Amino acid sequence: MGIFDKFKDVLSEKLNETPVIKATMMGPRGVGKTSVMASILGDTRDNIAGSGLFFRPSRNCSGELYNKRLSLMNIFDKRINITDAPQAGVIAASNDVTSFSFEMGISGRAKSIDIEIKDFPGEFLISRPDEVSNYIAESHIVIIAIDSPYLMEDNGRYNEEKNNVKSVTDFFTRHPESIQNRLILLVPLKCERYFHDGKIDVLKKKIESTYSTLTKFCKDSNIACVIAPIQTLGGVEFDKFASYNNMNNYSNVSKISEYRFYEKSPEYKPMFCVQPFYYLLTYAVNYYEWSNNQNRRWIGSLVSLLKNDEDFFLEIKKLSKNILVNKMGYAIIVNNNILKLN
Amino acid sequence: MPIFKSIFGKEKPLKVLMIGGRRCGKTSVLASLFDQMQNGATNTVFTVADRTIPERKVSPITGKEECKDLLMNKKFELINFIDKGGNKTFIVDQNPTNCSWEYNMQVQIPGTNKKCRMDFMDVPGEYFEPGNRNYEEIENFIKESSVFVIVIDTPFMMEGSRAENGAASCMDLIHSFLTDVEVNVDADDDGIIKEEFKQIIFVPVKCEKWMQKKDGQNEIIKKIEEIYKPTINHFTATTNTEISIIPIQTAGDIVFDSLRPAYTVVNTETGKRSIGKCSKINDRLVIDGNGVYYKLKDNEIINDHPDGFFINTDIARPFAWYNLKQYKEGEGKAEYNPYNCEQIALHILRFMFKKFQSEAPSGILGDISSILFGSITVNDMQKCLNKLNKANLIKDNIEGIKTIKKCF
Repeated sequence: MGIFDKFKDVLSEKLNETPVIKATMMGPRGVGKTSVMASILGDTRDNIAGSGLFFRPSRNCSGELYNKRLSLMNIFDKRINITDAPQAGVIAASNDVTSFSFEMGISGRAKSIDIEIKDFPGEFLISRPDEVSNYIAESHIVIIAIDSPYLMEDNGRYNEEKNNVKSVTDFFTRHPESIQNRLILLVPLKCERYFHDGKIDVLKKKIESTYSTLTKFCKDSNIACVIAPIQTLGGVEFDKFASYNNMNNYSNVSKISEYRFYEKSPEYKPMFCVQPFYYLLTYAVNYYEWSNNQNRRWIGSLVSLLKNDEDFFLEIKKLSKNILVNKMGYAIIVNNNILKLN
Repeated sequence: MPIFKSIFGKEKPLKVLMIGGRRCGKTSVLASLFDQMQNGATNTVFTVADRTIPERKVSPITGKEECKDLLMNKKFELINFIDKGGNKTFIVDQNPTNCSWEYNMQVQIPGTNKKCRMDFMDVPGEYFEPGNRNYEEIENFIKESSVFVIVIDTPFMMEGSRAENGAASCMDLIHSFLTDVEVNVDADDDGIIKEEFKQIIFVPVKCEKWMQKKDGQNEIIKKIEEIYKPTINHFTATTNTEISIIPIQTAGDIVFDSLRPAYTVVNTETGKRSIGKCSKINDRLVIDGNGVYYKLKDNEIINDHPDGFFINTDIARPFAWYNLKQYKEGEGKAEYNPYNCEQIALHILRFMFKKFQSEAPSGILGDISSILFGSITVNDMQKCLNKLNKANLIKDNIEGIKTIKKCF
């Protein structure tokens, strides 16, 4: 087989591949990352933000995520029978690298893209940094999940043991090449109490000060950085810390958080869970345009163009109108000529 | 095209896939549907025969060899509940389906050799649950089928919690299956869905309680349109798909009463169950599945029933309890009285005829194949449809039957 034939085969294979948009996720165990993934399914069940786009989990994780969503609903459905406050950890935490795959496209058509999100446990930043770094290099954004009550309560006394701020910051400052031209999303979860109490701006300021070394690194390196708070469940809020016991398997944490139902008829009503996806898609599209302008054509961009999916491309661009910017606790810490939001 | 296939091979039956969660009543729907088609008013237009072939195979769920149930046995199970019921509240505890089975209905024009066939694939509810290992099998069924009957357990839909209904109906995974396989199989190189005619029928069963209420059928329709909105919207916008809702009563006089937590009574000395399925009145008194009160002995306790959780979830699955419809003295008694079950087959037949009409050439080719192979021609189909319409046998937009989208 000649070189030209081989090139045709490779190109043909690439042409038939579905483009993949990747995101890296990291954060403490039990913070609610899988719950957020499951909650997104509620927001996108019919379509995304009234657009003509569909969004669905891939076969390999659809069962787990749909089941998770049902379990979360069940916590609220059975409110009458629950006499004890729900505890973090009743929703089982993931212990290893977890992958979530989704498919997106225009309704009535085959999928246009795959979205892959890999969730790395915090200890991988120290034990397997190359693995994390390599995946970040293939990703468009990095989502850093933050357990908000640990950041905010008791003067943040338990924050470092839970959210590992130093490890996260050290990792990025030691692997600057992997994060170049990416977007870092700082995503505080379980923010219900701070929304309910009108303290979401306090939360934002706390993140800025606690992660100041990281955000300074982003500013100095022209790496886009955004704060994107989420209400993971909606109808519950942080109540208090309780002493750690072995049954909950939180090996580095001296306190666990307890929650209470909010209002007389609490509902499973997560909020803003889909915002990281809007940021991911917008950033990926902007990155494609930016890389074209830089003449940095990579095979993925070329494939997307050759697939002639302009309709899908335009629908994604429309989605960026739904991004929250500079309100509801959302803040752009570092803007750049790829993110281009203000 | 069916005419050419019938020249060179057997006639092509219409494939119907029965979809729904565990124990929602898919097989009971088929039993009542076959029964009403064989014995109802439609036999002036065509005769219906059950041509199902007996079969045995190993179940991927139990690992044991299973035998295909005769549909008439399912019918007799329902009749048995009615005979035993009296004025008690009881659990309808039918044998679950543990394998995928095909049931074949032959439709023939009376006095002729002209016939066609509908093949119904009855699939265990487990196939639609998370963790299912039979994805490829489902994918193949979906690819082969032109009609999808989504059977809905109405008691869970109307009175279960959101989580209970979600787990019982498997609606999210069913939506994923239908949209994922359908799109990936039938899309052309540009990703546009090819124009293949399909039919989706939402069939809420165990509806008796709501059909007796004023506006009850509208409540059912409204609920279906609300919770199945993603599936309805997808198929409304995308393909040549006909979508309708056909509420049915598989038994007629068995009426849903309530969902209650699932318990069993266990002998603490032997570890064996004294009472299989029951409802708890207090710590020492239960009602068993036949509606008989039972007072616990000293060496017995009430435990959660092992079937009392939806598989692979931590969501409790209540038992559904039923009563017999009560008649005043002299006005009759509860009987096996299915209602509107034949409408599913009639709507499918009408769809099938129109689909074949749109695909097959008419004229002499059709007439020749009819003589040689006994297939129903386009003209025959039109005559049958005219007769059905003239006799008002196919119901549209009455009694809770609603067409959401037509494609012919």
